[in-house]
Amino acid sequence: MKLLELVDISYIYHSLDGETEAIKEVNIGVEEGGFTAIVGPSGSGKTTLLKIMAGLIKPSKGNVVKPDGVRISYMPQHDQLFEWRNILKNVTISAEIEKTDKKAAADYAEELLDKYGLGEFKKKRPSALSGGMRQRAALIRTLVSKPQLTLLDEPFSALDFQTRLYVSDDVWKILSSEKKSCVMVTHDISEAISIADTVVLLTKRPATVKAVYKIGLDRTAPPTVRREQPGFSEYFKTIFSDMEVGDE
Amino acid sequence: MSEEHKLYLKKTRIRKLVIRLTQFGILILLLGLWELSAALEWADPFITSSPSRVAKSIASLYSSGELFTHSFASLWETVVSFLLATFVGTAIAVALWWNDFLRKVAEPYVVVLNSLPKIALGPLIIIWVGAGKAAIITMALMISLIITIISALQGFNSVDAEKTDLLRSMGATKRQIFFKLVLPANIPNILAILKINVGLSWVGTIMGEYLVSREGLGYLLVYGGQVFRLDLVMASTVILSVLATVMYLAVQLLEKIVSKYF
Repeated sequence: MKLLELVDISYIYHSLDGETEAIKEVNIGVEEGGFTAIVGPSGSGKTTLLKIMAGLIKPSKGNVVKPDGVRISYMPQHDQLFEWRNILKNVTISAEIEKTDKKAAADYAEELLDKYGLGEFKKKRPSALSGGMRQRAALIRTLVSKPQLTLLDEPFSALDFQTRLYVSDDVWKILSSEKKSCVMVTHDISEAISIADTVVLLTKRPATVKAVYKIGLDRTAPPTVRREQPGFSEYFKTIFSDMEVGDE
Repeated sequence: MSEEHKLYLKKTRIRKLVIRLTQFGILILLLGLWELSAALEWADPFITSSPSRVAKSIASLYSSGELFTHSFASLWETVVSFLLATFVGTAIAVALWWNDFLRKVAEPYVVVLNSLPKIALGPLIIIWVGAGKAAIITMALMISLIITIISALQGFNSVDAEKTDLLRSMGATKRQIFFKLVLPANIPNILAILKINVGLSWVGTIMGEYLVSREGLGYLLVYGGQVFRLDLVMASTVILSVLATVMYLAVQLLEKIVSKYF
């Protein structure tokens, strides 16, 4: 079953200086249980595409098809935890916005925080957490509304290289044990190959789908282990040579 | 605790003490020189007054009860205009944040009102609201209101767009975005505005009292100047700086308490 489908999506960005065609006739289907990574050169409209999926931007043309009852949750590039709320209050904010059962949300959030090593930080301010822990908290905030599909915008880009590696293991572990489908946007090809089962490569602006790769690495292994698996570097070489150089 | 850390703590303590002593020393020295120059008639104490004359002047204001009448009058006007400016200014900023069209339309008016020297409105204010406390409060309000609107609005608009997107992706209404994000994110900014407004409200009150009043510290200052009682002018200035400092410290205390949560 498809959780979300982009059909002939185009997006034109208007400003007084003129119009810019950012996305052109993109078709992407997101299967339940899948992990899709969207890669492309910088400035290729990846984030815009994700925002269209999240319903934050209306496409100029085309349709976003979402079956009834499918819940989608969006995680922005930076953790965006609110410093005036403790971690528990941060991760349960969706229940306040959607006016759903706060108690149930808090119970579920506590369960997730305990399970993923943030139990003792429930009452702490975000500034008391390390970069990796903040990212985990942000992911848990994404999960508290019990979405089937999560949309992650460059979830590791704000972290240094070592942290990025173990946080991608964390994210993969949490998403796979909670059985969440995921679409992730990244400019890092190796990150995409190590965590996703499908990689969608975009061209430079205006973005179109250049190629879709099925990644045949062992899906039960965490990303850092997959990086060591045979085949990883071949995928990397293929995608790297297919990718166009961006505008910058 | 290591010996080095003990030494560090001791050095920090001593440095703090030296700074305090120097500050205090300068005050004593200045007051002493001032008193001496009056006593030895280096300068005419009739023009320059002297610490002892100022003290006497304050004591006589105290015993006649005028100290409280005048201080209270000014303090009341300042506090009322301070609170009005803060609440009305923030409320207008909220309205302008809420409606972008309104904000764009209001922009040139705000710019003109901000650049206008408010004292120029004095005659108009007196005619419109009468030559009483209302005029003083209006004057003080005019001075701090526009800058409150501008600073609060700037703070509201500088909230990270990604945070707004996050809440929007959860289906948040504009009202929810304001109360869950924009307002709490701006508490430190609003507190900074309060601190500026303490100073501005005092400027406005004293200016207003120059224009119309029959009581208050501004009135004492003008009256003292007109009858050439420089002791009274100096005494009013001292009382004024004490009151303004106390009010500033109160806001600073509020900031300290509130900033634990924001």
